[in-house]
Amino acid sequence: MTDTVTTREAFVHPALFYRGAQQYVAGTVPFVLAGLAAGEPVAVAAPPDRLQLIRDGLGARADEVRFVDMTEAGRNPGRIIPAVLRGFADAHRDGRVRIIGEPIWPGRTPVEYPACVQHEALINAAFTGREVTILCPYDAAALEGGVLDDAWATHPVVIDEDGETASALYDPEAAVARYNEALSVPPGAETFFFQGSGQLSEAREFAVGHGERMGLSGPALEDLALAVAELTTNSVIHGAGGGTLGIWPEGEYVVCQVHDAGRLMDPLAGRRPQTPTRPGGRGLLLVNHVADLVRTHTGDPGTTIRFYLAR
Amino acid sequence: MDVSLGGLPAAPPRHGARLEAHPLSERPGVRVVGEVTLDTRRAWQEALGRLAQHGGTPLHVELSEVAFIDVAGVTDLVTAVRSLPKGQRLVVHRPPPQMARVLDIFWPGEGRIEVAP
Repeated sequence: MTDTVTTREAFVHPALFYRGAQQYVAGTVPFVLAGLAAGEPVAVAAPPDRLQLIRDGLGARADEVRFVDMTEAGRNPGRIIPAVLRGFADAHRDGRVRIIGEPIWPGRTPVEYPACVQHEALINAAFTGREVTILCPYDAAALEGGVLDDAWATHPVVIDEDGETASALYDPEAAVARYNEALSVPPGAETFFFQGSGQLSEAREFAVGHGERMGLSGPALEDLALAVAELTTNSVIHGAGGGTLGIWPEGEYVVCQVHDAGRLMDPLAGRRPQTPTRPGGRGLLLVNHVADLVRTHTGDPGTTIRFYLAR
Repeated sequence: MDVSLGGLPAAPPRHGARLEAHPLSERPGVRVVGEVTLDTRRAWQEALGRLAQHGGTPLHVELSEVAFIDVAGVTDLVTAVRSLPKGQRLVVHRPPPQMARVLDIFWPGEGRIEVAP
């Protein structure tokens, strides 16, 4: 007996390479309208000027669409899956959901970019089997060629002016690995070695003291305390009982990182929204929520989580 | 016992966080002193567990002397509130700033916890 199994992946994740406003509108507005016509909930998360183009193109129907400023909600790429994409998709579970998500724009810095690619790659694992369509526009005229090469690796399908092409270069795991870059503490950083739960308070107070001296105050300083507590607690529980904390100023940010000997085996750690009744597993998610950027490195020497807070 | 020289008390050694819980005298609930971290989580959970034994509504948790609470500590509070009988509410007094932040991120609209500044 022959079993014919048709595997049609429920999750659809095309990249849209556009050049100029006209192509942007042509690639996004009909996509939104088709979703609305099918009765699908639609959200658009993009930089404000792009949101405006889509709003203008939709006219009165814009009221039926949820618009999200990606430069705010998605400033930290690690927050986009839990807070923006799954936030919207999980709230509409009875049928297909349609989202435009533009996480990479020309202003993204070299420090942010590796986290952006990893985010794009991990969308595939995060939504496997889900009735969700996420279209990711790329400004092909302004972004460097290497960015588009990465988009071919993180999206199974690419749409451009020539139409729709299945990507022969699609390999999201390789893209995650390619940007799994070592994160060393720069010279001059303040460092603190902690071992055991008895030093968690000291580690937190060390970070808060230096963070304040480096220019953090108010809610940002409280977020620093929270993030450091979560990361150092993770190190004590999962990372050989301790680790190293580093903190330093960098441009408009205070940067803090925690390194331990553990190995982060779950690439989606910190990117799954937790159901409200689940008792644990919110540490990395918290850091993704409060930080302006989170970078991670995991490998043989252990795991490093680095986060940035604007001062 | 610490050996003090010249009558001066030795500085207390830092062996992690501490947490004490005392029943409130004037209303049903508990006053907590210290900080809520991995080291003190069990004491915190026990204090919250005893809340249900108090009669009266709402129940009060006085946290003005709690310097810090981590995400697990806030999770315990939410879990405790959800295990209370229907109709019971909890008022948290002067919590450390992290509590509102964590509630807002993970449990927006948790109506059974009222935060009193």
